[in-house]
Amino acid sequence: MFGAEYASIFPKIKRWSSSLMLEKEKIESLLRMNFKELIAFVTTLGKKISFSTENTAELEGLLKQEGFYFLESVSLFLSGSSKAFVKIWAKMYEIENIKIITRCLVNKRPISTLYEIGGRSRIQLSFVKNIKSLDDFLDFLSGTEYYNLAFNSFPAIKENGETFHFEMDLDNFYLMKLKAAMSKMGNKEKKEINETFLFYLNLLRLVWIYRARFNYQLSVEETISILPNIIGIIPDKQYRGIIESETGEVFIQKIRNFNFFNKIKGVIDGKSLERNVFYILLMKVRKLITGLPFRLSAFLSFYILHIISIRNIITLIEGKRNNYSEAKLRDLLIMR
Amino acid sequence: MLISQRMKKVDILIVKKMADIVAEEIVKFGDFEAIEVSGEKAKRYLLTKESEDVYIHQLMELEKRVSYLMASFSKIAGSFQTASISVSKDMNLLREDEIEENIKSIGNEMLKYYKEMENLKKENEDLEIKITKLNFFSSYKEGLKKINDLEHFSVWFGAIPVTNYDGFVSAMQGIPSTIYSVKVINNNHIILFSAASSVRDKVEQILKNVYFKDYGLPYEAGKDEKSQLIHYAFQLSTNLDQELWMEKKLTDMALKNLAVLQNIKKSIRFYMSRLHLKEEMAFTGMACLFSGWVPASQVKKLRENIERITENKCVFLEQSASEVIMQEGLTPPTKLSNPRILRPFERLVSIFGIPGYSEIDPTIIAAISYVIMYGAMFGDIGHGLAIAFVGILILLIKKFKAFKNFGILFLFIGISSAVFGLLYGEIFGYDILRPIWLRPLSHIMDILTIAIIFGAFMISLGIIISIINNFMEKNFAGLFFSVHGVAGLVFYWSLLYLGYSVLSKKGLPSYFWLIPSFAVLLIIFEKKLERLFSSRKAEQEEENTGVFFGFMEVFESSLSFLSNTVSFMRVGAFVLNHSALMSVVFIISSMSKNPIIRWFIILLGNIIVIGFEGFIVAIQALRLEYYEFFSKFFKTSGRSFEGLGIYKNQS
Repeated sequence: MFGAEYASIFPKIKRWSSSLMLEKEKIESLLRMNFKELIAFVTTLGKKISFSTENTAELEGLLKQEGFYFLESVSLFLSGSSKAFVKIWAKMYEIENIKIITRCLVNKRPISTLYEIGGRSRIQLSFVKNIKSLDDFLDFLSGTEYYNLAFNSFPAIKENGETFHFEMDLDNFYLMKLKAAMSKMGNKEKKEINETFLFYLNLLRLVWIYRARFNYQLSVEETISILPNIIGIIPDKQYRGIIESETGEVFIQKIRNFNFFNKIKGVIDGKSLERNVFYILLMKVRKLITGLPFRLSAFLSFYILHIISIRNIITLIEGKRNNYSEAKLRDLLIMR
Repeated sequence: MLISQRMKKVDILIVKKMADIVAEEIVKFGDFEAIEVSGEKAKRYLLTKESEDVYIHQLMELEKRVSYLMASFSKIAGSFQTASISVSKDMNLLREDEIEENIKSIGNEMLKYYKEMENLKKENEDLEIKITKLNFFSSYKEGLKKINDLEHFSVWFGAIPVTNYDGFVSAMQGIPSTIYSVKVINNNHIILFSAASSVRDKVEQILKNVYFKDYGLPYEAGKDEKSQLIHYAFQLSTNLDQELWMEKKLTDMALKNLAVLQNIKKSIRFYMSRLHLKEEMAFTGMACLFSGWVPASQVKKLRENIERITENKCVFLEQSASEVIMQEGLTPPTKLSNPRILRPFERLVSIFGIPGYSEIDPTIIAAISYVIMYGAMFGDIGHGLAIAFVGILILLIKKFKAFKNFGILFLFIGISSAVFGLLYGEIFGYDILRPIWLRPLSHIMDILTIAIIFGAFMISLGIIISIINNFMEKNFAGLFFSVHGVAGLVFYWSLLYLGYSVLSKKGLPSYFWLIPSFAVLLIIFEKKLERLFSSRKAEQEEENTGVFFGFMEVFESSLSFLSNTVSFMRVGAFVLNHSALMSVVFIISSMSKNPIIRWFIILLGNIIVIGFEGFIVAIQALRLEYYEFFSKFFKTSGRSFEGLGIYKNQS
């Protein structure tokens, strides 16, 4: 009540935020490390998990796993609609597991790393060892809320071997569930979610629209049918207008008209779009994390900053592994 | 009951090849808390350890699968049905390969059921859509013929998943088209729509993206329409019956498998405990050494068991806890030994903390005082018997067996309330009985005075327990000079006597002030005296700080003695509160002339008083136990005994 439940999580967030790799000074010190030193440093970052790998993909997964533990931990302090919202939010990891399994099955790779998502779900590593094909996986998904999505999508995946449509369907499904959970919350909380978490998802959606239109060369109608304006932060007309852009340059020009893109001084192109999106997010949410303790936005912001921080760490590891220059790495990193 | 079970440390040396069977025997025995063999001893005898991480990890994976299956089945069977499943305490140990096989077969059975259910649901969805289609087009017979002849427009009828519907509508906005949503069936939008034939390819692409399922148009509507409708409806009703039957089948399957899964879980825990014990074992080439805490009463039995299974090829050394504390500095764990009937109060104590090995276990004292305080504060024959009745119901109904502790607690406090009700002559708020003792509202001052005397008794009892604890720990400085020692007790009793003399306007004997002054001096110089007795050389700074803290402690404890004693007035206040609350209920009920409404108000008032006041009194009594009583002696320095038995977490 009155956000009092969020106050109990606030000190935890303040403590955890010290491990985020977003401050220029912190990143500069990491830039000076060599590859081995960097790996040794990263292995000290995990709070509830231990690292025993130098594989970037695995490291990324393990670091992201912390996000799930964060949500689990947060949900212990909450009740009612806030708790239900966080529970739905955590379903993101279940959905990510489905995506990973599907990709592994399509590419005939073994399913070796999945998110650990507690005792409520069977969509995790201990349960999927005997799944060898998409048909097995469809049977496995029976009784879950994802069965119908998989039932509709798997024939097409078998036919053309691409999982893009299915992944977008899963994302749309997730967004709808999130919006439904959000509708039961108070107006103040809805506003805060819109300004942080949905804002973040919306920006990522813009990146996906760019990829769908100009990397995968999908038509306007196809793009809209796959990436509808579920989030609804951008008015429908404007959203459609962006998708209707004929070239990547026009697309960038149109999104530049949004207030939040105004802050970007340099050039934005297809390659730098994602990085700029994360920079906008960093600028928008960094202050909220140490704001008032009675606000939901503190832990919504922490989550977003945590994701950006992981992105920085992975960029650093990959850059150091491939001997990128410090200047080049600085260009790729997102920092204050 | 007043002290925890005495412990012994055992060191067992066996032949290495017997490590597995001995570990198994010890896990079955249960009352064994392993102590890590490390440090000097390990170095001296060149002992090495073997990691069991891989096997432990495998078992953890299996346990995770079992937990998920149990959670799913519990959800299906419902919490009440699940609670009624009785698990035999006799171990039906499954082999490790049997565990995996069983989990796999139960998992497959569940998946098979879900698959069948999904197929049935899909079939039903299909039938529902077909029925909707027939109903919908029955009124467009003429229009359908015209649609068939359209050249420039194409018309579709079918289903789009709800998730993809927004995408479909948005995509179709750029195309000349009309969309009519007929109905939503099982997360599918049933739609009729048309678009220009020239853009048919574009539309087909969108439809593919949104998983449109085409049900086609009945161009020859009217033909066998009725018979088809009857056919589909009949099939649907048969399928719905089958769905219900399958749900029942699933519940049966859940109940049947839950008991099996509980046994699997126990077996997994058994093997995990065995592996954890093996991890604590230290090996040489031929021998294996391990140590642990065992309740003294069980040592003989354990020795006999191990000697039997190793055919006397073992060395079994035992040491009393006090020897181990002195020689190795190890602290024994605490295993409380209270009868089953005191278990709910043991829980109340353990929430506050675990008593140290040499501390007094306050469970029995807490139980008696809690029950008395609750009864005194909520004295009413009717209300007490109602609470006791709830307690008996909880104890008798099998489905509530998880709440057995609450049942016992309710029974005790209910009987206590009823007894005090008899003393006050109160039944459901009516003063119709002649009180055996007194009527609270007529003896307000007496009630408050008795509450304070009771408080003084409880605080004194707390200090006396602290003195005994200090004696048992051989902390003589604490025993004589601390605020919760003899000096504190003398000081507290002096304050009580002073208070009594002032209130009763009796004079004090001339030598009176010498007694508290001496006690105060002892408390102030406690640290200094402690060093004097332990002949330690104190530093000047420490001495000054010690005296300063001594002054502060006297000041703080005077205030706390006063506030703690006065705090017990709440016992008396709640006695009066109860009577007053019931009077309010009767006043409100008397406002209505309708006897039914009057009795309804009285009934509702009684329920509210039992529910709310009963709950508040429970909290207040607990508060007095925790803050006024326990704080005087309870150091909570212990840790509970963690035996290897698989029932250790299932009280």
